[in-house]
This record gives sequence, C-alpha cells and structure tokens, in this order.
Amino acid sequence: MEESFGDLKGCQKTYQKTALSQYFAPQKIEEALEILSKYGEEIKIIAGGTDLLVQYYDRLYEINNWLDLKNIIELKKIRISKNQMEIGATVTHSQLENSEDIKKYFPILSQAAADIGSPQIRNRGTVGGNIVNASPAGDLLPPLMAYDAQFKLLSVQKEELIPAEEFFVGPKQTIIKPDQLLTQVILPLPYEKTYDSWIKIGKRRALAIATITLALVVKMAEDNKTIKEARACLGSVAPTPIQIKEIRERMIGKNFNQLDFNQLGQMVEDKISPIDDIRGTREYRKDVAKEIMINALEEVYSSWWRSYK
Amino acid sequence: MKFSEVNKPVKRVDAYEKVTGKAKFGADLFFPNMLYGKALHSKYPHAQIIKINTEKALTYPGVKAIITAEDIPNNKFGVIIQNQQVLAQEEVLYIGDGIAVVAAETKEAASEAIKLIEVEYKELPGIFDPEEAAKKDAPLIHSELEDNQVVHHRVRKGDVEKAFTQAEVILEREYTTQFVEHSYIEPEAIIAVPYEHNSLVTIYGSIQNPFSCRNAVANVLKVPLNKVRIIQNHMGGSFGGKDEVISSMAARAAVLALKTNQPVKMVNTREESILESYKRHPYKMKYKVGATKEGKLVAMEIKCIADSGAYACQTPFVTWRSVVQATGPYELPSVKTDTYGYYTNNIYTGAMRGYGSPQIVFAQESLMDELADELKMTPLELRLKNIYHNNSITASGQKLDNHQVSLEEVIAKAVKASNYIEKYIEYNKSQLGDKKRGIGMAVSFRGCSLGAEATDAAGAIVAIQRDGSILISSGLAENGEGLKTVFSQIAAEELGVDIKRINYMEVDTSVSPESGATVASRSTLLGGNAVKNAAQQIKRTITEMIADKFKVKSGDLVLRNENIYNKNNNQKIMSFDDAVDLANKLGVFLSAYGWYKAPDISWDEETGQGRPYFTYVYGCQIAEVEVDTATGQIEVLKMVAAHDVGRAINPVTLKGQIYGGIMMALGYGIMEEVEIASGYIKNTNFDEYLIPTIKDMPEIIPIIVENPDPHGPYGAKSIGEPTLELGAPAIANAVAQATGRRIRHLPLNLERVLLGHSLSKGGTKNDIL
Ligand SMILES: Cc1cc2nc3c(=O)[nH]c(=O)nc-3n(C[C@H](O)[C@H](O)[C@H](O)COP(=O)(O)OP(=O)(O)OC[C@H]3O[C@@H](n4cnc5c(N)ncnc54)[C@H](O)[C@@H]3O)c2cc1C
Repeated sequence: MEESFGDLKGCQKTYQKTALSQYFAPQKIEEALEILSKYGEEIKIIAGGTDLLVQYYDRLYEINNWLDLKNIIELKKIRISKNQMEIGATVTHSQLENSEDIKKYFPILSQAAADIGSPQIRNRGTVGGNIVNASPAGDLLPPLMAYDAQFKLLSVQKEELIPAEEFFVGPKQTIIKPDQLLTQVILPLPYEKTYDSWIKIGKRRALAIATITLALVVKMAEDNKTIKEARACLGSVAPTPIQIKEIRERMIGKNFNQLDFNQLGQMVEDKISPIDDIRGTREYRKDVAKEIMINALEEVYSSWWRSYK
Repeated sequence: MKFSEVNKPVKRVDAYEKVTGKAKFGADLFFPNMLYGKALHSKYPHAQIIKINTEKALTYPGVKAIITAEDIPNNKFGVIIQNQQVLAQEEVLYIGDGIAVVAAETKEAASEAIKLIEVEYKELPGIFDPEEAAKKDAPLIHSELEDNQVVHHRVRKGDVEKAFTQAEVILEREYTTQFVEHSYIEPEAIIAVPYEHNSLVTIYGSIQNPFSCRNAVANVLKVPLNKVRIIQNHMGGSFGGKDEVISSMAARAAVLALKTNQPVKMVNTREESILESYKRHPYKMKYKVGATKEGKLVAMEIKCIADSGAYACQTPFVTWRSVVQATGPYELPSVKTDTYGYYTNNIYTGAMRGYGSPQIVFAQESLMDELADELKMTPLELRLKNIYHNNSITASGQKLDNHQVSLEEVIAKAVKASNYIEKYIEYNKSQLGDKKRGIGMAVSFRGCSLGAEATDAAGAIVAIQRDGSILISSGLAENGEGLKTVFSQIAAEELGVDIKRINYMEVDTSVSPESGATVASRSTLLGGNAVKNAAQQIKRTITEMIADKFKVKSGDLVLRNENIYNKNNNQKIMSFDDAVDLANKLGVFLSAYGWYKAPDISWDEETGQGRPYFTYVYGCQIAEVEVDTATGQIEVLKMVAAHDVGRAINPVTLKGQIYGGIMMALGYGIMEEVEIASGYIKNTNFDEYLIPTIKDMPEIIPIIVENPDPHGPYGAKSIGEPTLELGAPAIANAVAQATGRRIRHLPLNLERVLLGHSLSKGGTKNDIL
C-alpha cells in the first residue's frame, strides 16, 4: 500500500523538505481516512490531477505527501440506492457524460460534464475534484446545486452530509477539513416530472472556462401544471456557484402561463454581482445572465409543453 | 501541360519522421557539457536601469556565467533598422526586454539564479498608444531619434480632394485591429555550440530564417558571416514569428557559449514566449471613400497607424505592404494613402502571416459592405462593379498586364459553391429567435514575394550522388508548410525521376546559398524556381553528355519515368541510373547551384507609384455564420475559399494552407487578443489567450483556381498568407448581416457582438479560478 518515491524531482533546490516524501495509493476508503488523519494538512489528495497539477505546475516539489485515490474502486461507482443516486467522488466527467442513469435522471449534469474541457480532461477529471476545487466556474457545480445535491464527507471520526449550497464559501474555498475525504455526491431521485436546462457561455466551443453558466431545474406537481420546485443556479457570477432564491419563490405554486420570463430574467440579472475578469466583464455577464435565464425558461417550458400535450 | 510529380498530392517528404516522433526539434537536442540559459525580463514596460547586481546569482550552485548588455560586443541588431537591444542597456523599453541571461548546469539552477539578480530600476512613464507617440511633444522612446515615427509610406494617385467633390456618396469609417500572438505550438528554442567544426559558433534551433539569424549573430559578435553557422531544425510552427525573437535568443546564447566555452541551450516557456516575442501590429485605420450613385468608386483616402512597440523590427516593410494594398483590388482614379508606424512602450510588433494585410483587408472589405449598404446594393454587386480585371491600373499606377487577373473568376467560384446569392436573400429577411444567420464575403489582391521591400532572389543546390540518389539543399527554410516536399517534387519533375531518390537537407548557412527568408509567401515561387534552375542545369549536363556519346541532338532528349528518351521516336536511350554511372565514369559533374532572381520592380517612395510587385494573387472567401444575439456567441458554419495560386504544385499541402489560414483568421477574427494594459501583458498562456480548437472549426470548402503565372515554377505563385487575410472580414460582414450591426474592431468577441464594445478588463485568472 505504501510506496515511497523518495525526494521528488527538483525539490531540493528551493524547498527544504521536512521529511521524506510519501506517496500513498490505498485501495480502501478506510485506509485513505487513516492516512488523512495522520497527515492532515501535510498531504495532498489527488484524484484526476487536472486542477492540482496545473496549480502546482513548476512547484510540484512543494507537495510533500500524496494521497492518490486512483485505486479506490468504491469511489468510481455510480449507483442508485433507494431514492437516491450515489456518485462516487472519482467518477470522471466522461462517466457522467455517458452514464445512462445520469442522462435519464439528471440530464443537465451529463450535459455539463460533456461541456468540460476536452476529451482528455473529461477522461481524467473527476466530480470530486471539480467540487473540492470549488472554482466559481466549475461546470458541474450549478447543476449539482440545482439538483439539490449533498456531499458526503468522511473522516476517521465522523460522517457528514453537507448540502451543496453550504459547501462553498469562496473562490476555491470550501468547508472541507484536511482530514476529510469527499466520498460521494448524493442526489435525490426525481419522482416528479422534471424539466431542466443547462447553458454554458464560454469564449470558444471547447476547452473554455465558463464566462457564465446557468442550470435551471423545474419540478412539476402531480397535475403537471403547477410548479412544485424551481432552482436556478449560476456559475462564474459570484465567488461561489449560487442559487437565485428569489426565482424559486417567484415560481413555486405557479403555472408556466403565469410567469413573465422577461421579469424572471431581469431578476437574475439584478441578483448577481459578477466581477470583471479575463473571461468576461461584469456588464457582459449581467446582460447575458438575463438572456440565458429567458432561454432556459423557454427551453424548460417547451419540453414541458411537449410532454403536456 | 502534363506533369509526373508536380500538380499532384504527393505525400509530405517529412511525414514519416514527424508522425513517428523521430523528427528532432530544437528542444530535443543535447550536447555534452551543455548549459541551460535563461533570461531575466524587465519588471516594467519602461524604466531606467540604475544598477544590476549579479553577485548573489553568480554564487548559486551550478551557475557558470551571467551576461548583461555590457558583455554583448554589439548590442543592437535588426533586419531593417538596427535598434533592437540584445539586452537592455540603459533603459528597458518594453515588458519583455531582457536584462541579463544566466547559464547554469541545470534549468533549475538557471531559474533560481535569475531570481537572485538584483536590478534597481527607475520607473519611467510610458507611451502605450501610437497616436500619443505621434504627438509633437511626446517623450522620445529612442532618445537618439528626432521623433517616435518609425516610418511613413505614401501612395498618391490623382487628385483626391477634387474627386471627393464629385462623389455622390461619401463614407468615412474607422476600424481597429488588435495585438495577435502567433501561437506556434513549439516555443522558441536555441542551442549555441562554440567551436564546433570550423565555426566560431554553431546555432541550432527553431529558426524561421537561418540567414537573418546568422546576420544578427555575426553582427552582434562582430565577426564575419563565415564564422557563424546556423543549422535549422524541424519547426513546430512559426507564422512569421521566429525571426527577431530567435535572433536575439541566438545572440544571447552565442555570447554565453563563447564566454563559458560550453554549449548553451535556451528554451522558452510559453509565458516567456508570449511575454518576449513580437506580435502582429494593431492598426488604427481611417477610411474615406467616395462613389457615384451607381456604385462606381471615385476616390479613397486612407490613414493607417501601426503600433510598432519598442522596436522598429519589421514595421517599415509591414506598413509598406499595407500602403500598396490598402484600397483593396478596386479600380480607383484617385487615391491618397498614408501608413505610419510609431514606437511605443508596448511589446514590439513584427512579421506575422499576412504582414500588414489582415488589418487593411479587414478595414477595406468591411468598408465595401458598408458602402454597399449605403448605396442599397448587394456587397457582390458593388464589388463586381469595381474589381480589377486584366489591364486594370492599381493605386500605385501599376498596369496588371503580365498575368491573369482572376478576381471575377475566384468570386464567381466562391459565390457558386456557397450559394451566396440565395443565402444572402434569405438571411436578409427578418429572422425569428435569438439565433440569426448571415453570409459575408471578402476579396483581396496580394503582391507575391517581397516586392520593393528588398532584393528578391533565392538559390538551391541539387546534387546527384554516385548511386543516383539526390540531395537538395535550399537556402529557404521549411517552416512546416511543406516546402521540402514541394521543392523535392519540382526537382523530381525536372529530372524525370521518382521523388524517393531525393533527400532534402536542412538549411545549413555554411552550405546552402543565401536566399533571404521564408516570408511573404515567396518560397514556392522563388525557391521553387531556384530548384528548377539547378535541376535544369543538371538535365542539360546529362542530355549533352548523352548527345555527345550517342550522336543525337541534346534537344531531342527527355528525362521521364527514370529514363532518358529520344522524344522523336519515344525510344529509351538509357536509364537515369545508367546516365549517372556514365557521368561517374566520364568525370561529368552532376551537381548544380540554381539561382532565381525575381523580375525587376520599382517604387517611388514619395508618390507610391511604380511596380511594387511583379505579380499578384487573388482570392475570395465567403463566411456563413450564426450569431446568438442573446449571448454574442458566433458560430462560423461554413467557409468557402477560392484562391488563384497560379499552379498548385501540391494540392494537398495547398489545401492544408487554406484550412490553417482560415483557422487562424477565425482566431483573430472572433476571439484572439493579446490584452495589454499600460504595457503589461495580461494573458501569457493559452488558458487565457484563446485560440480556436477543432470544435470551433467550420466546414471549409477550398477551391483551387489555376491560372499559371509566367514567372512562377510551372506557373505557381503564393498561398500561405492570402488564405489568412480574408476570413476575419468575411466573418465580420456575415455577422453584420446577421445582427444588423457593424463591428469595426477585431476581434468580434462575445462582448463586442452583444454590447457593441469591449471593456477593459481587470483582474487575473486567480480572481476566479
Ligand atoms: C485544460 C483544462 C480544461 C479544463 N476545463 C474545465 C471546464 O471546462 N470546466 C470545469 O469545470 N473544469 C475544467 N477544468 C478543471 C478540472 O479539470 C476540473 O475541475 C476537474 O473536475 C478536477 O478534477 P480532478 O479529479 O482532476 O481534480 P484534482 O486536480 O485531482 O483535485 C482538485 C482538488 O480537489 C481535491 N480533491 C480531489 N478529490 C477529492 C476528494 N475526493 N476529497 C477531497 N478532496 C479532493 C484535491 O486535493 C485538489 O485540491 C479544466 C482543467 C484543465 C487542465
């Protein structure tokens, strides 16, 4: 289980190591938790490495100890248990993109996964990495939030289930502690009629970090007329992915016919306060937030209409 | 004409080594005792250097030498004007200026030592706008000069003022373009080896123009050309970009190699590459055009201002091509064009595929559509009323009478293949929903080769070996475009042999004849003619030798299918191999230096009148787009590209040029922009400087038009750059039709399309990722 690589390449030059580097690639979650409890902040978890290795490009030597999740088969599974979908933390974007179950129950999660990076990145990058990395532009985060996901965090001491909305606290900041491992993403299976829409705006058609994203999930009551639940979640418009709660309040209990899409779009525009950065300006993001909200509503509406007829 | 080797889709001669990974690029080379060089770049876009202290850095383990400007024998170089600093002496003039270079035993040691160099600066205010630089009281970027002007070119034809008084419609518009990065996949790489064979220093690496590099290094070292040897490696792209930046890298490495008496290798990271290497010139262009109500152009007045950045680099010639072609291929009785280049403290600008044409073609082709709109005419109709035909007279007063002026033909073919007319009518109707389609065209004429910029000649050696195998060595360097293949095809065609006999040598400046640079889409034309000339000399030697021996007329002999025939009775006289054997026995020399000098041209700098280029190519591209008016996203659906190339020596590599040219055009057309704020470059890697991926590529329909040119080898002219200059304006015109709104600035990014303007952006990637 324990493989020691000794000093990593290029490390002695600028960085004095405290001890020999350790590389762990356990097969069991429990072993991983043990290692985490022992090393705490002194170890880095690596899943696909597509964020980590970019962040530490040219200074990999700063990482003393590695916990590689690659051998934990348990974390690679997508399965349905009772009324929920359990997605293992190291399920890759390609898996999400292609899983029949995900496509059936959580279509926009699959679509968002398909919009990530390139085939190479999708083959390596994981859902857990996307979550813990907590980029405001992480593509899976708005759909996960919109589907009311919970994240299972394990440590030697305890198990916690954290709702997506409470997990992210800032750009690249979450509430996860150094001794915790994200093991699963849990999504309640929708039993209602659900209509959803995913929109990603980037500066090109692939390999684009999002300028703005929107995930809209609308669940209908038994009559398939009244909106029972509605969640509009956006990425790249705030320090964390966010849900526009006012949309929920405005939509629940209404029929589609009672909604003014334009007004809802305006609401999204008004409620976000994006910044200027290299991927887009505040003005652009605000403008487009409204437009994509209207588009998403129209898409949701027309798929509802098709099923209603 | 029937050919056996040319005009055929022959497989690239360097394909095997490239696809199997055997091809060696600069960074793949290692020499015993090799050191690694790394440059320290400026901290400010403009500052005085008070003091450089390298003491601490020199003590870092593994560091062998550190050089600063003091160590450079001649610190200024340049192809046209020698004012680029190898290392900054008293002042840094742009953010990528080098200050010192370390040579150390490992890359890590070099990187660490760089951090230990202490530089004391006095930050100076900078000029970052060429129009500011142009002002009378502007501070001088180069204190030895009188003002900040790099160059001013003029074209004066007719009486513009008077002509405008007669115009029934006058339109005045301003267009701008951005800094564009070449984005070659292989960052710059150089290895300088001291005292190898008989040279003082031998330079290997990713070198676009071995002879320019040799000139620069010899100049910097103050040694004769024959002491410096440049050997080119395979290139991972260049697009005009590996000239001055490589020369400066080679000069630095050479100084270090001689100082340490060890080979020195320098390979840029992507960040260093983007920070240090020159870009495509941003232009500000003011166009004024006058026409009759019927749509006949009567006058054009043009003023273009190019940002040259810190150094002159290629600005004088880049802006010259602009001045010649600024009106576009339209008959105009009166023209007044001025192009200017000004120094600023921005990153310097130089050659990039297109070379002064992408900017003006964007302006002039946008303008034509705007004028058509004004005249309630279709863009096609307006163009057809004004384009050049045989015997048209250009803005420079040149009569186009020595080649087929095929604009109408390329337009007709592109229009047909794209269904332009039907689609134009359809997309003019009101479209429902956010997604709107448009179709747009752009046409151009382009002077082949250097024109009146410089002397235009090229050479090549074709050498038949004892066993009949053949070596070719040309002075023009493969840049990845397929030059080796095309030259091999030409030699094989002339000698009537299989191309498999040929081995194409890398350029070695101590062996190959100096041929100028692989630039200006000139290599097939110039170098192809030189190879042809060499092969023809050998052919003559062979036929004369046989004629002598078999008592036939040498003029009756032909080389074909690996044999020599008597063309009168089609009888085989002997095989090519036997002929080589015979030559060996008789002591006949079967090698030749080929040479080709371009036809004479002329230029009057005061009036811009003359014959600036000896021939031209013509092209038309049509873009079909879909614009999401809610988000500003543009999808380019289809591009049709019709280019008259004279003759396609290799139709497949030619199509490769069309696909690649369109890809790059789409890049600078809708997404690429080096963002520079007060001289600082914000996007220094490809996570932020976005170039198109395969998913952004439209369907591309290439149409090869062949009207053989009297000067080209088998009639061949140019293709590399013409393919690049039309895509962006065609897309811009299509977007204008789709949205009903004209964007006069490149790139047509999300914000410009949606909001109509691009805002200056704050923040860095760390703010969001
Ligand atoms: C070229 C490129 C393109 C990209 N494009 C996109 C894109 O379009 N959209 C997008 O959203 N992202 C994109 N990314 C970012 C990245 O691929 C994704 O965020 C990916 O999901 C990260 O997963 P990973 O497994 O590679 O994470 P890693 O790099 O392995 O880990 C990321 C972070 O999460 C931690 N971590 C990982 N797994 C766990 C766990 N189970 N428990 C606790 N901590 C954990 C790691 O310690 C690390 O801090 C791109 C990256 C690259 C290099």
